[in-house]
Amino acid sequence: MVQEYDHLFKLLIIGDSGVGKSSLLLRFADNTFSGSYITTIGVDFKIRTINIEGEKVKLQIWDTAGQERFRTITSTYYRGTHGVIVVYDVSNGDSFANVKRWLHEIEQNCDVVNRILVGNKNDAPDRKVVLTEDAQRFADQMNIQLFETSAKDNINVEEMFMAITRQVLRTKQEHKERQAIPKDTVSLRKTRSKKKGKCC
Amino acid sequence: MNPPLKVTSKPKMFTKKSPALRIDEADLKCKSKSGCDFFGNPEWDGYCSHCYRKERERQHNDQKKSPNRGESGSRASADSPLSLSVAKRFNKFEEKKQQQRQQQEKRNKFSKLASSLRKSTSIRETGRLPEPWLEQSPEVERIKQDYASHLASLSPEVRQLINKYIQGLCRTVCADANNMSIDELSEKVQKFYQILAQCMDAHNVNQELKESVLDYCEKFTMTVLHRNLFCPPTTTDEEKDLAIQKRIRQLNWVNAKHLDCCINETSEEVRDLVYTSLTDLLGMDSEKAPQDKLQAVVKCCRNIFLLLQSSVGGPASADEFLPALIFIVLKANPARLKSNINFVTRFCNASRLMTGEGGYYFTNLCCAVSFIENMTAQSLNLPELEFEQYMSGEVVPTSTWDSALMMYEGISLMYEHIAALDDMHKRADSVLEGTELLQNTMKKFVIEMKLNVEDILARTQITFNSEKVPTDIDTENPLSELLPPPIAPQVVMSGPQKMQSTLAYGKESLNLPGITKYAFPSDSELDALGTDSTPVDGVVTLPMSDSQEFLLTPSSTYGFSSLDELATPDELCAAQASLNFVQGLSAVNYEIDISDTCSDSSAGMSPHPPSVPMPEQKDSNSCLPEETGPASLLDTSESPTSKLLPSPIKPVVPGPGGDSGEGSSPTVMNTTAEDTDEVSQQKPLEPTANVSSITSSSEYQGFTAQGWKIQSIPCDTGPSDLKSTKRTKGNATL
Repeated sequence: MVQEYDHLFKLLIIGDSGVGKSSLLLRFADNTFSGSYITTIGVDFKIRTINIEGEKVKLQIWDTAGQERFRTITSTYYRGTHGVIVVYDVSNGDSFANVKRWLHEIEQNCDVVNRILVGNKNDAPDRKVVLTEDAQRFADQMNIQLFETSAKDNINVEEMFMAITRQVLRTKQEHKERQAIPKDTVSLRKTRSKKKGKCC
Repeated sequence: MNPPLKVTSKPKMFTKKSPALRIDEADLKCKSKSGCDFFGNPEWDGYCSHCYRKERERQHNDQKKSPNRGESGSRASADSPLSLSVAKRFNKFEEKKQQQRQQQEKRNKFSKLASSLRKSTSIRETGRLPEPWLEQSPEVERIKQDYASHLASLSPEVRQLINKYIQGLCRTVCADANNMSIDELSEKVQKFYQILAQCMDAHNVNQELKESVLDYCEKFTMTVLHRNLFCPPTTTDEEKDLAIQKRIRQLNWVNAKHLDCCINETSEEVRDLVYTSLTDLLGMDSEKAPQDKLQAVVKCCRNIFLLLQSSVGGPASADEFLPALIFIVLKANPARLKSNINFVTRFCNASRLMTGEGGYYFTNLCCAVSFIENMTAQSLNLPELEFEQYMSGEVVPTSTWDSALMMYEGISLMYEHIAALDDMHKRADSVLEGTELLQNTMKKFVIEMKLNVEDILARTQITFNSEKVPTDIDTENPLSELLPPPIAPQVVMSGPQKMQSTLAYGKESLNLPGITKYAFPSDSELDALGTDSTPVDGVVTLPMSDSQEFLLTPSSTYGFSSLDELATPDELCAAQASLNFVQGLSAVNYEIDISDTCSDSSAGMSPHPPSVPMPEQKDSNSCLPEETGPASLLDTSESPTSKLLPSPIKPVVPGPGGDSGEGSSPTVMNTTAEDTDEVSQQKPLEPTANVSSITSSSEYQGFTAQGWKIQSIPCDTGPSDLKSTKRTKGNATL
């Protein structure tokens, strides 16, 4: 019995349309940039297994549509999500302004979830509008980790995904430890119920 | 629940079977004792829907109260007038029982269970035979065959457990399908999946095998229970289906543009992919197991990604995918869409829905459906009014999928035609321009020609005369009238003199140029004339008194006359020139207008050309005295003639001298000649002209008229010949 992975996490990438969510995903999953590369399967759904702290973690990353008009219906995406990657475009001030709305949406749809803030397209300093200091201040305020990446030049992408995975893994382990005691009682009940079944 | 009872009830049912074949209206009515007037339905045990529900509730309560409910119930049904449906059902049960037995045997072949175990299970199964869930269908058969190998690799213990769970689930679901809420059922099924997974985990089943076994269990149970769980009457799924169907129909005007989705509708490849994804989505309804439905969605979505790739030219993202999926759902309008989605969400293994490709695409499908349900004008970026109009069907959408294509074709065709028309228009314009130009040039030409003609006519009014000249030459009538005076000299002339003169003419003409020849005869003639003139011209004697003056005046008169005569040669020259002109004109006229006059004139002209060369011939025709005039004019520059001229002057002078006076005239003439030495050239001409006017004019005219024959004529008898010719001509003209 060989298990492929120890953990299976579902990550969600959200953010305004055109900030480069898909590019980030493609870079991480296939290590390519979508110049002229054509994948056989859509980039929206990607799976990659990584090794973190000696544990095999299978990441399942869901891309989402960022258009304003789909904002109300995306709640279904959040079901069973372990971590959310909020992406904005460093060369687009509006996308950074919308980050607050995205974070609000996460709060509404998920109880406990790990979040990470990503400023993508950080490869052209002359076009950079959102300053790192501003973004960092905002991230500290919201208690989120900030990464500035470039899917085009493959800067910080791997690190960012590793960071969110580590966060999710830590949360899961903490959760396990917390539920260690009640777990025993649950198992006792289970055995009882099983017995009952047998009786029938 | 109570197998023995049910088994006993069976024979009873068989006995009831035969009378049930007769059906009258009462049998079709609701069999409720309360006298319900509605028709019953076999599906509802012969009750109408309302009574059926009541009856079910009643039975459910009874069942709870007494375990013997089954028997009593069956009896009750047997007592009732209509037991057809029940009989049918039990008939089915019988068949199922047999099939189940066979199936069980088959399954047992694979499973190498202990004989005791097999017996026990078979006994159990036979005990549950009346349950409808064991109805065998080719689908279930196939599923079992498909997963036979997986099941075979399971340990017998696990397999037994799994079978037990499956049967338990089927049993409970069949029994309580109509009593439990759909959520309860869903919970039960999900629990079933969890228990199965735990069971296999507990027995250390291989992950891969576990997956496939779970898959099998899901597929098997859901296929078997599909009728019970899919769109059950307890839910409002059907209404929702109809609602969403109606909604999508209302939204049929929505096209790819409204959704900002980049489907290249004109590409054939993309269109094919759109159609395949549409059929994939429609195929979802025909599948029974949730994972098969899910697979249909996945297939559809993959095709959407393919078509997006060929439309966008690179990997598509969710930003493009979701609108495209919405578009596909709108165009497909799948049957029982809501029921299918609900069925999958309720009864598909939750872990599968939460993760994996199927889960992702299914989530997207749910999003698309909810977007369609909540679609507003805002979400399509349309004005409220326009959206309302489209929804109510007041306004036909500007472009839907089909009409867009048709319009595209139509428009392209139209553009082609417009281009062709433009081209033709241009050509027509150029043709019109050309014709206008041509017309203008023609007009101009006509005007120019008119002007030219008028100009020439204005210049050549004399030309008409000159034209007459040729005709005169032809007719020679006026000149011939002038000729008589020469005739008079004939009368005057003495025979020998004339003869001599003529002879001299002849001799000299043969040897000498005209002027020299003149000199000789003039001398002789002078004598003769001098002698003759006195008696003849009495009138001429009058100026004799002022002979000197007259002589001077004559010179002047001569001058005048010479001028006149000069004019005449000038005229001749002009006439010739004009003739040339006229010829030119005539030639031109010929080309443009063919008129009679021109032809006439040309006819008139044609004889002239000979006259034109005449002057040149004069040299050769030295005999012509008058031509000296024109010749002299022409040859004014010529020295020999001027040298020769003085001598003719002498004879010339006598002419007038002869006219004016007797002997003095020669001397005067000499003086005049001497005086007019400078003008000498003119002077000799004048007399010649005079002479010509008197005597040889006829000859000259005749020459011109006769042309070649002239030489011979003067040799013999000029005047007579001329006369004869005139006469003949006159006759001819007459």
